[in-house]
Parts: sequence; C-alpha cells; structure tokens
Amino acid sequence: MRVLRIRLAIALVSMSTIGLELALMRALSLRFWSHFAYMVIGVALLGFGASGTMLSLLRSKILGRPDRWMWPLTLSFALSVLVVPRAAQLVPLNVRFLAWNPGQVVYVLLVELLMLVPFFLAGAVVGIALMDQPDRISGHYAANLIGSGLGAALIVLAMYHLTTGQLFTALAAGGYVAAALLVPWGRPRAAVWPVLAAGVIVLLAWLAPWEPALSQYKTLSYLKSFPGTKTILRAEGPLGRIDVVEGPAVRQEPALSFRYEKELPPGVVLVLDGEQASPVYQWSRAEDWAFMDYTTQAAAFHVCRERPRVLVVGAGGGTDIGLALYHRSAAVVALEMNPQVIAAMTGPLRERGGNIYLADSVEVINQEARGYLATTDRRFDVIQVPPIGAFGASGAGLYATRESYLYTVESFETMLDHLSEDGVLCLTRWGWTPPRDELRAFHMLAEALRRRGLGPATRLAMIRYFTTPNPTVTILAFKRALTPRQTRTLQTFCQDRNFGRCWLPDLAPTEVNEFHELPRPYYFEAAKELLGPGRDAYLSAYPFEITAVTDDRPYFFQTFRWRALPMLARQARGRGPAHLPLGYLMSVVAVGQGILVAAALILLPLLVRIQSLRSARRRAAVFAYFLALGLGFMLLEMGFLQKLILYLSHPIYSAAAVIASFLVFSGLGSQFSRHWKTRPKRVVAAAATVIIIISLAYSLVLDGWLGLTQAQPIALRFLVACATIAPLAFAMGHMFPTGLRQVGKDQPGLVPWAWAVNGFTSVVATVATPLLAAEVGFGVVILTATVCYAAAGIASRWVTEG
Amino acid sequence: MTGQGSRKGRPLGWFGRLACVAVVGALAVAAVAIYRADSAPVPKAEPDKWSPPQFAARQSERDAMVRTIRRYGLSDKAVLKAMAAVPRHEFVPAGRSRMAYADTPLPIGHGQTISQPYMVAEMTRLLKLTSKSKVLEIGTGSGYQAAVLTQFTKHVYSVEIIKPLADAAAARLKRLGYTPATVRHADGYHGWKEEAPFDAIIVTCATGRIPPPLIKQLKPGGRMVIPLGAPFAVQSLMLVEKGKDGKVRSRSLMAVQFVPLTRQKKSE
Repeated sequence: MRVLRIRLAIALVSMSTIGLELALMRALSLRFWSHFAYMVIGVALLGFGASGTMLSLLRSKILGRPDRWMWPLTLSFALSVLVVPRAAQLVPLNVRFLAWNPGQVVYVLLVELLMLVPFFLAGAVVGIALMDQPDRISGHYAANLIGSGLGAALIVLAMYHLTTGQLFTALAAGGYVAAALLVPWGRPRAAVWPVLAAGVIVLLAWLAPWEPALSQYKTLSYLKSFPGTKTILRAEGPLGRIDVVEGPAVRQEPALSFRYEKELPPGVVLVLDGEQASPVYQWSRAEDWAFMDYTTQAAAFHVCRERPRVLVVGAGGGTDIGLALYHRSAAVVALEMNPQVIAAMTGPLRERGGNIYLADSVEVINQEARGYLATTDRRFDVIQVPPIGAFGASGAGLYATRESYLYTVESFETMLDHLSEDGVLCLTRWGWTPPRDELRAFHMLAEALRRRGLGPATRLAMIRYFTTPNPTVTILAFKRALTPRQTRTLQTFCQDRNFGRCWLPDLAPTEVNEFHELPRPYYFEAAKELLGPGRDAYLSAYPFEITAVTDDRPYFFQTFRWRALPMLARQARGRGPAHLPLGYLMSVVAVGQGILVAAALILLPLLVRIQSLRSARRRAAVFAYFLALGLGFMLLEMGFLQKLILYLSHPIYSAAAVIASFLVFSGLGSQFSRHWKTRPKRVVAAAATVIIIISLAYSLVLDGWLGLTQAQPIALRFLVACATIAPLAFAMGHMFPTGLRQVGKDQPGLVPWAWAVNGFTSVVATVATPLLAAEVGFGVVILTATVCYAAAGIASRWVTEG
Repeated sequence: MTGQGSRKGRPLGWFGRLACVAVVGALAVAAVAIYRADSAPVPKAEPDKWSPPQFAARQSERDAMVRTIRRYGLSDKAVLKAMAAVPRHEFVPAGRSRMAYADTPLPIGHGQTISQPYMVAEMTRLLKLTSKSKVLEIGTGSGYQAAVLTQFTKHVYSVEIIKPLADAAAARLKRLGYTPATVRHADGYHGWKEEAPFDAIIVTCATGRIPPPLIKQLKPGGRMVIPLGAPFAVQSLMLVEKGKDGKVRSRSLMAVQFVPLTRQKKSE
C-alpha cells in the first residue's frame, strides 16, 4: 500500500512538473512576448540537476529517514508552484530596457532562479524515491514516466478550459494531493498542521484567482490605460489569450494613406497575448470597407482579374476579408490558426464585426497556411499575407528567436504554386529605416520565383507607405510577367495615395523616393542589387542579415549580424542599443547565465568530493561519455521541438509532444536497458548505432514522412509526432543508465560526477540550441547531435569495460 | 541679594516684547502668504514677462550630456543651450535619478519612456521653432520635452491621454516654473482644436495613420515630427511638412548612418 501511494505521488509530481513547464511558457509569453521555451526547459533541467547534486551530497542523511523528507519536499513543491509565478512577477525585469541597461541581466537571473525552485523540489522528491528503494526502481520510474506523459497531454487540454492563473493552481493541487499521499498517516503529528494549512492556501488560490500580469509596454496595457476603456471579452487557449477592448480613445487603424480623410466605421480591438492588435469593424455594406483600399496591400486588387478568388492568411479581426469584399471577390478563404479567435468572431463579436466571418462568399478555416496549402488543390487569384506580428515588438527584435514557417522560401514556393495563371501573391511587412525583413521578403520571393523557373525582375513589384507611424512595404509577386497595363495601374494606384514606388519593371531612378523621402532610395537600390548578378556580395555587405531563410533555418525575424556591432557602436550616435534584437539578446543572456548557474549549482558543490575524482581511473573517458550524452540528447530534443512546430502548427503543441515523448520513451529505454541478455558494451554500441542511423535517416526523410499526415487533425498529428520520436528516444534511453550502472560498479565515486557533468551539459545545450539553430539551421544541429552520440559510442569502450 | 544688581533673569523690557510680537507677526503673515500662494491658481505668466527658470543642481552632468549630443553631430547652439538648461533629473522617477543624464531612454511608468537626450534634442531641432511658434505635443509623458520646448517659445500645448502621467507632468512643470507649457488630459488624436493651428507638432504615440485632425491643425509651412519605433527602440524620425500650398510631404531621418560591412567595388 505504501509503495502504491509513493508511486501515485511520483506520478502526480511528475505530471505537475511537466505541466508547470508548459504553464510557465504561457505565462512568459504573456509577459515577455515570447514563450522562452528553451529558458524554461533549461531551468527545469537545472533544477533536476541541482537536486541530483544535493541528494548525492546528503545521501546518507536522507536515506536514514526518507519519510521525513518526502512529504515536506512535496508540500513545498506544491506551494512553490503557487508562489514562484507570483514572486517572479514582482521582479522588475524590463526586457525592453535590456539593450540599454545591462543591469537587467540580474533580473533575468533572478527570474530564472525563482523558476528553478519547484523543479529542484520535484527532482528531489523523485530522486529520493528512486534512491530509497532501489529494488522498486522500475515501478517508480514507470510512475515517473506515465505521470510526465500524462502531464504534457493533459496540460494542453486544460489550457482550453482554464486560464493561465488557474493552471498554476490546478498544478499546485496535484502536488498537494501527492504530499497528502506521502504523509505517514500512522504517525501524522508533525504533518497535520502544515498539510491542512497548505490545503487552505491551495483552496484560497482557487477561489481568489491570480492572473499573470502583462508587461506595461504591451499594446493591451497601453490601451487599458486610456480613459473609458473596457474589456468586453477575454478567452484563453493554448495558442494565446485574446482580449477584446473598446473605448472612446481605443482605435487600432491600419496603415492608411492620409489621403483618406473620412471617419472609419465604429469598432473594437482584438488583442492576442496582449500585443498583436487587430481592429474589428462594424460594417453592413461592402462600401464600408472603402478605407482599406487606401492601404498598400490593396494594390493586389487593382491588378488582378475582376471578382477574384482570394486567400487571406490570418483572418484576425477581418480587415483583409473586408478588403476582399470591397473588391467584390467571388470567393474568400480566410485562414485563422487560433480557434479562440474564430469562436469570438462567430460568437460574442459576431454583431460587432458585422458577421464578417459568416458573410456570403467567405469561408473561414481553422488552419495555418502551410497545413492548408499542403492539403488543397485550389487556385487563387490573390493570396494576401498581411503583416503578422505587432509593429513595435517586431521593431524591437522581440521575435528574433521565434521560428516562423510562414516566411520561408519553401512557403513562398507553395503559395506561388497555388496561384492562378494571372494570380498575384501580395505580402506586406512593416517598413524600417534602414530596411530589414521587408528586403529579406523581397529577396525570398525572388528566390522562390527563380526556383519555379520564373524570372523575378518582371514579376515583382514593391511599393511602400511611410507617412504613417506604422510604415508598410507591400511586395507583389506575379505568376506572369507584369503587363504594361498592370504597371500603369500600379503607378496610378500609388500616385493617388501618396505611396512610394520601390520596384516596378522599367522604373526609372528618378521616379523613386517620392512622397516620403528616405535618406537614400534604399528599396530601389536594394531591389536592383537583389535581382542582379551581384546579389551575393550585396547580401554579404548589408548591415542586416537578409539572406533567404528556409525550413531548415526558419528565423525570418532574426536580422542581426554580429559583424555589424562595431559599426553600430561607432556610427549609431548612441542609438546602437535601439537596433539590437531583444529576443536574441535574451537568448544570449540565457546561455551565459545557464553556464554560470549550472556550474555553480551542479558542478561546484561536488568539489567537496574532489578526492574521489582524483583517485578515479579513466575519468576522461567517463566525462567525455556523459558530456557527449548530455549534449547529444538535448540537441536532438530541442531540434525536434523546433522542427515539429511546422507539423503541429504551434510551439505549445510541439513542446508538449516532444517533452512527453522524449521522457516517456527514453524512460522505457532506460527500463529495458538492463534486460537485454548481452554485455553492457554491446548494448551501448547497438544503441549508439541505432541513434546515428535514425538521426541521419530523419535528416533526409523526416519532412516527407510528416508531410504525409500534414492534413490530418491535430490529435492524430500529435500521435504521429510521438510515434516518430519513439524509436529514437527509446534507443537514446539505453546509453545513460547502462553507462552509469557500469561506472557505479567499477568506480562508484565517479557516479555523482557523471550525473553532474551530464546535467550541466544538458542545461547548456538546451539554452544554446536556439542560437545555434538560428545561425546554422536544424540540419547542422541534428548532425552535431549525431556526432555527439558517435563520440559517446567511442568513449563507451572505456566506460563499459569491466 | 535682591533689588538692583545683575540683569540676569530680568523679564524682557517693552522693546523686547514689541520685537517678539513683530517677529511672530511676520512669521504668521509669511505662513499665510505661502499657503495662499500654494493653493491659489497660478496665473498663466504673461508671455512677455516669463523667463525660463534656472537650475544649478547637476549642471556639470547636463554639460557632459550636451557634449555627448554635440559629439553626435548636433551643433545647433540654441538647442544645446536648451538641453543644458532643463534639469532632466527632475523628470525621471526617483529610482532612476542616478541615470538621469545618461545617454539612454528611461522608463517613467505606465509603459512610457523619457526619450534619449539626443532624440529630444534632434526632435527639437527639427521643429525649427521661433519665439512666436505655437507648438503642440501629443504624448506629454514626463513633461521633459515640453520643458525643453519652452526654452524656445512660450506657446507650448501638450496632451497626454494617461491621466496619472498628465497630472504628474502638469504638477511638475508648474513646480519647476515652466508655466508656458499647458498640459491637458485628453485624447491626442483630436489635437487641440481651440488653440489650432500650430506651427509645429510632435506626436510620440500614434498608430495606423497620422490622425487627420493633426494634419488639419498643422499650419501651412508647419512641421510635424514623429519618432518611429517601440519604447526604447526608436530607430528613426519622420518629418512631415505642410507646404504653403497645403500639400503634405514627409521624409525619414535616421539617427544611424549605416554603411556596408565590407568594401564594395563600384560597378559603374
């Protein structure tokens, strides 16, 4: 009975721990613009690793009376799940200020140290159970795996029904029940009051819900500071939180030409995760959308056939659907990835939005663009890709380490394939001075056309509008070369609206840089270079990274170049920090701090055992083995996390599938590792070989394999993702415990060091992988992981010798 | 011994008593005057009679800040003089006072910032103000920009939509003596119709399009400056000019001069 209670408690703690990782990603996404998945996973590993070090140092004390330790640690875990998010919110970390004030890194460290606490406690609970009853390790381990797997799946389901604040309370409740199970109720005296008090706290937390605060610099915070602003709707889900606000001063106008002087229809503003704002207008006739004809993206409708068939990527509040309706489109297919947005626009906001999602000739589909285009044969006359990502956050580089499979060359090729013969792909980005990702988009569209055997110089047009606080640049890519009539139409379109022409066939240098003067005609000059034979040299010399991004390295928003740093420092007139991408900076800070903190908490405490290290044999081989395993494992896991975002449409789904699968199947592999009837040396060699073969095979065929089921519902894709990871993780699970068992037999003094080295490199690899992937792509990440396992395979020769 | 002798312990004579009464009375009158001065509405200083207040505190830091601005290539003497005169440390939160003259924007609460000193100077320079200029600022923030503008003209109107900021800025400007700056808590989208038209407008917080009322309220020949970018990440300035014919032209002004990272051979 006691064993059953312990296993239930382990399962609950494990479930709550994995759920906590995903809940923290949501909370960070709300506060800081990015889910910082790698920071959360790195901190979790840091907590587990630090608990392992602590347990190895206090082993004799703990094993004397494990009962005395387990329930208090579990209860502390439960309370920490409630306390830590609230405490982290009090840390005055201002990500926006990071580039100007390096002192902010201290606050980053503080947030990381706070987040580490519950993982440290959870790791200690599970570790004590495993240490205390080695003959029951298999069952305890199975409980750990089952709990972890369930936690990943259940938390995603829970996100549909609970707010972020409620998620933390539910996870704390899981930990609390685990603590109650571990109390020695036969002799409960010391436990009664703490357990009761903790129960009251958890209950109060549920009754008095807390919600994570948004950064004061987010759009929603700003809108809510206006007099009379009211929130009329709020909904949460795995893909984000939506808030809908209205008020006399609340307006979120598109980047309209100032030539349009009339009032816009009444409306409200729909905000996603506190930042990306989308106006929702109350309209009744197509003519009410006339104002949208004064945006740069309206250009496509002036040069396409009459009554076009339109695909809108990102329906949002419906403005691009409205633009299509204004131009009497025959059919409008609008893609919206977030089911909460669709539910809002077809439910509580139906009338406010003039029923735009339900209008005749409009079909709204809950799917992201790549998935939809992979499953349809339809052809469109206009494919409209409006600017995705909030202007301010985009400019501050907060999306720099965010993957985007919408903005890759392969994605643009797919869109071109779905154009009718007279069709036009219309892509709009925010405009910057000097230009950055908008030039990248131009270059990538040119590249996509070239890959399709179509000359880009006569098939591209670029226009801009800069007399607005949110400048826009629209690039049009045509299947057929522009006709003189289309060119004249675009010229007139621009003239009537004060839009600048940046690239058209036969555009003269004297015709550019009009209406809104830039210091140089950047766009025209760049377009000329990027369409000419010297584009490689131009790309190399450009101060920002604007080379084409592919599915292998889908970091469209990462435009920073280290080489530009000295020039920024010299020439920026003190404004250099304004050009540093904050998302990228946060990743760099996370790597630096990860290394230092992991060394301090995992490696340094073991110096008290330095003597055991000095006297050990083959320590270099042991270190190399466990170091390579730590690196290889996390590189593969993080690589898959990134890769599966395209297949599963969103980082949260990908994180859930990857974390659950790697934990469960590598855990199963660990269990099986002792049952093979062969020498450990052969087990490790076989496992390493299988890992290398599967990794190399996946690097060649994974995209094709996943593409077969891209069209299927998310639940099925989730299972396919788990099944794809299963054989690889199963093999990966063999090497660590087999090596550790052997070290434990031959040189027990090295065991804590092996744990520590492995834990240290796991943390570093986790936080470093996004930077690595952004620089060199997933293919190289997978290859590096494969090399690590090969190195471990070689080192195992000395580790597994009897 | 009693009777005449030492003066010690003798009560005040009639002169001493009179002096005490006079001192107490003067103190009372002064106290009442201070109280009434504090609570009475401050009459808007007659433009001709007002002159910018002087502040000696932390002057050396302000001078260093001005030297930095000058190193960045801004040499307009009037602007530099204005930057040297206005005490930026009075406009930043107490916890940031140490960084008041650093070359950086600073948070002031409610998601707003006080701009980097160079940007304030550059925006002021671009407005080309004269003593007769009427200038409108949308987004008062801390009031620092408004204070700098009063160094040029006594007709400064500033609108702030966030009430705590508007109230704090108004009180701060009054306390420091920048009375020509009038702050209003309102939606800046609509400008300030009663005082329009304006020779110059600064807009620090707009989205989507330049509010049409602001373009209407800009005089022919007037200039509007809009910083572009997010808080802490303002990367360029937009200058909007309304010609004498009423036509609107605009241009981007970067504070950063980017050059290619490698030498390129000229192809022509």
